[in-house]
Amino acid sequence: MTPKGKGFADMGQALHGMKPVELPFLTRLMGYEPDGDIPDAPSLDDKEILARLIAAVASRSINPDDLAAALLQRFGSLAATIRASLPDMEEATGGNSLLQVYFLLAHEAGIRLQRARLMRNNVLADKDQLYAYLRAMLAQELVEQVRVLFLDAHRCLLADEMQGRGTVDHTPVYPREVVRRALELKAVGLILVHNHPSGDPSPSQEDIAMTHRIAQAASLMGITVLDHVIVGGSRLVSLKEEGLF
Amino acid sequence: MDGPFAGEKAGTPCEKAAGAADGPAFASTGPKGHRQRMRQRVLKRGADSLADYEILEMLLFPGVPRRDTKPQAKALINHFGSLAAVLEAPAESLKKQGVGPLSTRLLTLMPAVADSMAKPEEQVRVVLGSWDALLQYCDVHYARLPAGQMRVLFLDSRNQLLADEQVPDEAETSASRPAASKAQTAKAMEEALRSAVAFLLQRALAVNASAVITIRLTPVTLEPDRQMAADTPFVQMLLKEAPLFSVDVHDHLVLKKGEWRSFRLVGQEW
Repeated sequence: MTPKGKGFADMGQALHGMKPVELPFLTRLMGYEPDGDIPDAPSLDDKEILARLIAAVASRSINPDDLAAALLQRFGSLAATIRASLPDMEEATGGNSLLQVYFLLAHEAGIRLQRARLMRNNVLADKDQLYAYLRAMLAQELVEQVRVLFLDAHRCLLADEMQGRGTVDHTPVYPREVVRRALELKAVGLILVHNHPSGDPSPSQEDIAMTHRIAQAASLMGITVLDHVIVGGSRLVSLKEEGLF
Repeated sequence: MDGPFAGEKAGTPCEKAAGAADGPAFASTGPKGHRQRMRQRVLKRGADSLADYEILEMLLFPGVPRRDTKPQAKALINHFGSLAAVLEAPAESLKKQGVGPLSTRLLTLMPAVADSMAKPEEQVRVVLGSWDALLQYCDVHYARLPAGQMRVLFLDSRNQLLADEQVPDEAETSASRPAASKAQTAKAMEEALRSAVAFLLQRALAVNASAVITIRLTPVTLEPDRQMAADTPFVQMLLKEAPLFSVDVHDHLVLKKGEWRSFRLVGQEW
C-alpha cells in the first residue's frame, strides 16, 4: 500500500532505498576535474540539469540520478520541482534543507537571467523573450497574481512589479495604483500580466473589463497599455493579438 | 513558579512558536555561521529578497568550502558586468577568473535552468471533467485499495486533478464505539465529523484546490444505499463549510465493485 495520504502513483517512493554514489564526492574532495569535463549546459534535459544541480550541492549519501528521477516523477518538470512549496519539497527531498535552498536559488537565478535578457532589448521587439520571461516567472505559480511591466519611451523595461495577489482564481487590481506607480517610474507604456493557475489562459469577461478600466485611466495620463498577457501554465494569450481590447 | 514565564531565557511560548532559536542568537560569527544564516534567510523569506551579489555568493558556497565568497562574487560581477553576464559566461572565462571546477559547473548550469523554466511545454495533468473520466479514474486507481476508506480528489478550476488522498476515518470509529449515553455519542460523532471536514478543507487550501470530490469505497458487508445514508451527515457538513473557503463540492460518490451512487444524483441537498 502507498503511504498514508499519497494515493496518487507512488510519489516519493523512489526516494527510499537510494544507493550512495562515490564519484562526485571524491572528485570534489580532490578539487580536480579534467578540463574538458565541464558540460555545455544548454542541451541538457530536465533530468540531467536536476541531477547536476543535486550533485553539486548535496552530500555524497544522495544518488543524484535517482533523486532527480524521483523528483521529476513527483513534480512533473524541473520548473515545478524548484518552485514546489517548502512542505512538498521537504517531503520529497527527505528534509534536505540544503537542496531546498539551492532549488530556490536556481529558480531565482533563472528568473533574473530571463529578466536580464528581456532588458537588453525593446520589450515588444522580441515577443519570444517576453514570453520566455513570463513563463519562467508565472507558469508554476499556484496563486493568481497581477503584474505590470513598466516601459519607457523606447519600450525598454523599467520595472516588473506585482500589483496584486489573489486567490486560486481571482485577483483584485486597482487602476489608481497601477497608474500611480507608472507615474512614479515615469513609465509611458504598460504591459499587464496575470496568471491562471488552472493552466487555461483563456481570458474571462472580468479580465477584459479590467484591461479596459486600466487602459482608460492610463490614457488620461498619457500612458498606453500596450498589451495584457495571460499566462496559463506554459500557454500564453495576448489580449492585443486576440483583438480583445 | 513553573509556568510559561518561569525561565526568561527559554523564551515565551509565543516566541518559540514564532521560530525563535533555542540557542544563542549568534551560534557562530564565522563564515560557517554566515552561511547558515543566509540559508535560513532563503528558506524563510525566499530568494527574491537577495541582492544579485548575494545570489552569486551563495552559488559559490558549495565549491568553496570555508572561505568568505562575497569578495569573489562582487569581483566577478564587476569583471563581467552583471549577475546575468557571470552566469552566461563560458566555463573558460570563469576559470580564468579563478572560479573552481565545482562552482563553474553550478554557475554554468543556471542558463539551462532558465531555459527549462521558460520552455513552452504542457505539464500533463489528469482531467476529471466528466463522469466517464471520473469513473474510469476510480476503476484504475481504487481497485486494489482496502474497502471502507474515504478518498478525496482535489481539483483546480479546470477539473484537473491536483491530489488524491485518504480522508482520515471520521464517523465509523465513533459510531461503533459502545455508547455511554445517546447525547454523548451524538456529540462525539459531531466532533469526529468536524475534524474530518476540517482536515479535508485544510488540505484543499494546501494544494490550492478550487473543488473537491469525495469518494467512499464501500465495504462488501454494506449496501451502497445504506453507505450513502451513513455518509450523509459528513457530506452535509462539508457542503455547509466548504463555501466559506471558496471550495466547490462537486459530488460525493459511493462505489462498490462496479456499482456507484452519486450524492448529487440522489440529490436532496444540491
